[in-house]
Amino acid sequence: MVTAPTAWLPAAGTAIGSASLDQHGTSSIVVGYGLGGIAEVELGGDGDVDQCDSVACKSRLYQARATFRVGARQDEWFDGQPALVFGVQESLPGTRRVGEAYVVASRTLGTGFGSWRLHAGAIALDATADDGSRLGFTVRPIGAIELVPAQYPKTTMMLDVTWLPELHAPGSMTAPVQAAWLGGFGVRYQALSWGSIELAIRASSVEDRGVMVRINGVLGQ
Amino acid sequence: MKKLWIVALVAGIAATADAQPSDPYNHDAGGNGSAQAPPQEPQPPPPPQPGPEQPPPQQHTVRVLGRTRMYELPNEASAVMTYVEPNEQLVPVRTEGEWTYVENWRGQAGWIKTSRVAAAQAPASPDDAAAEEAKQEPPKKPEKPRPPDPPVDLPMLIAAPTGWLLPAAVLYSRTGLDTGGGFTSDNRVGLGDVAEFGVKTLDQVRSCSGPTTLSDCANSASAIQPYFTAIFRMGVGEDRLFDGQPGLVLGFEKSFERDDGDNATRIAELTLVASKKLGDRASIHVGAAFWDAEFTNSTSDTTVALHNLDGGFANQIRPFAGLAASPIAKSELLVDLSWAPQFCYACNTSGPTDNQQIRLRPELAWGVRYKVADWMLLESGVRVPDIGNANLLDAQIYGAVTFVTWGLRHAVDSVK
Repeated sequence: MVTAPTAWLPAAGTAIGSASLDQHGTSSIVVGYGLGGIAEVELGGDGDVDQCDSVACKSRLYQARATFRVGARQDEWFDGQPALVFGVQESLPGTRRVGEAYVVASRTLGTGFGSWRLHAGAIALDATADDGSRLGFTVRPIGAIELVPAQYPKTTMMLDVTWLPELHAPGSMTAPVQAAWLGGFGVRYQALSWGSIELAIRASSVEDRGVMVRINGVLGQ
Repeated sequence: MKKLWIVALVAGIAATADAQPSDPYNHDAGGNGSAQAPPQEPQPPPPPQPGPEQPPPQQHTVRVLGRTRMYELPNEASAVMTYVEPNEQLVPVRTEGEWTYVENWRGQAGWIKTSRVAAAQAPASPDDAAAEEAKQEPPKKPEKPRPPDPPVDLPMLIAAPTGWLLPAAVLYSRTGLDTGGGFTSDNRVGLGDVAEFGVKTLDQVRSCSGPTTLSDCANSASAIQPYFTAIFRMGVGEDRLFDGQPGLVLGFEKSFERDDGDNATRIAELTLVASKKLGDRASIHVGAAFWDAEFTNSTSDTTVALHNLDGGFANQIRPFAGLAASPIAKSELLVDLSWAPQFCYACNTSGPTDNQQIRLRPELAWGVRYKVADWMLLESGVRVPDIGNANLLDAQIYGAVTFVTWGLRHAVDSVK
């Protein structure tokens, strides 16, 4: 989604990739590989974690990270079963470390107006700052909703919310490391069978993240 | 008058002589006395010229493999008409089973053995009559195609061993990397279907130098790398002794001495594990490990060993287990619990048992193994080095690739 993870897994042997850029010049890139149809491993980097001083959060923490997701597809075990994924995301070694673990369920619902996709789950965060300050094991809810209008089958409207760690400089009034929500609203256009483009607006609890453009590609099945 | 008569007589005699054949006994057909050219005596055919080749004929020709008999009839009991040399070109007329009717350049026609015909080959050096009768070697039977190699039950889950052994002379190699910078490599060979031997490098052995309590050490420990070990396992495969018998393996793993700062460390592990397949898509693995570990500080020249610490035997015995399930063909879900030693060089050896310098820490791992090909598997997952600490930041995402080859086994079998 724009910010939140979903329970969709790529098919076995499928490679996926995405790259994004926002109006502040913050970029991200992620590549993933479907493992056996029941898991996915991703490698990437992004600047989503805010670094804040006593006045404002104006800089981003670029981090390389890896993600492993394992789950079951929709209706795989029983009719009506949502897709389920358990994911763990870890930053690569450094003075600042960010770890996430989440469980998310996704389900596609069809109506006369179009196709709705609902995503709901929980995320556990932990992070450490340069000075050793630590967020601690923190659990927060995540969710997202997608709509594919019947008149525009290649277009998807998205709305989601997730949580990220926020690092504050020593001496500020807030805790050195705390969890902050990050929301997004956008539209995805499936231009090609293997590629899509997204335009979204993101906002967090501390600042307006602005407009973001992202392209996605799929190679394989 | 008299002279004219003599001249006419002579002229008449000459004219008559021209009209009569020189041979008054004309033996032509019918004996009709007509004037014909006298028959020529039959000229003997010139002898065959071995060596120089005849001019290439315009039609399809064959040669023989060696000096070959030409028979009057397609029967070795019939009369031999002549011998055909290897450099003679023959015109094949027809073939009837073992015999071929040919004609040579001398106009002779007869039967030769079809097996002696070498139409596309250069004629061999002339053989004697005895070699002509030598039987041709029967054509070699085509080699039977090698049956496909059976699937190999792997000796490791993620970090825990299984009760399965590699087949004899099968090579196994697993190499992995995780987000904590941990690098592992495990290389083994099966021995006689009852044992296996290998060398490994681990990233599970951790240490810390500064903290003086195990809880602080758990938060700051780092892997000692590389950490080389050798491993030997022997056992019995599933259902070998009785129906329902699980695979049983007794394994011993011993490290080479590894210096970590001022401390020289060593570890050893004795494992007994049983593995049982649950149908075609699942398996369970349960075992116990007997550990020992020690480090020697080069500065103080003191040695600390796990078997000497408070708690005794209970410090060294640990259970381990694992599950594997294959919900989709070629994909396997793996979960296992294993143990690894952690060295706390600055911890106290006396006082509360919590402050022990060597402790076994549990590691939980889960992941997916995907069979890309019969000889290659890709694996990825999560390893939590100290699940007792429940530190999300310590979790590591790992990736590994496994190769299994029967090449050495096939090479050995082909030499036998």
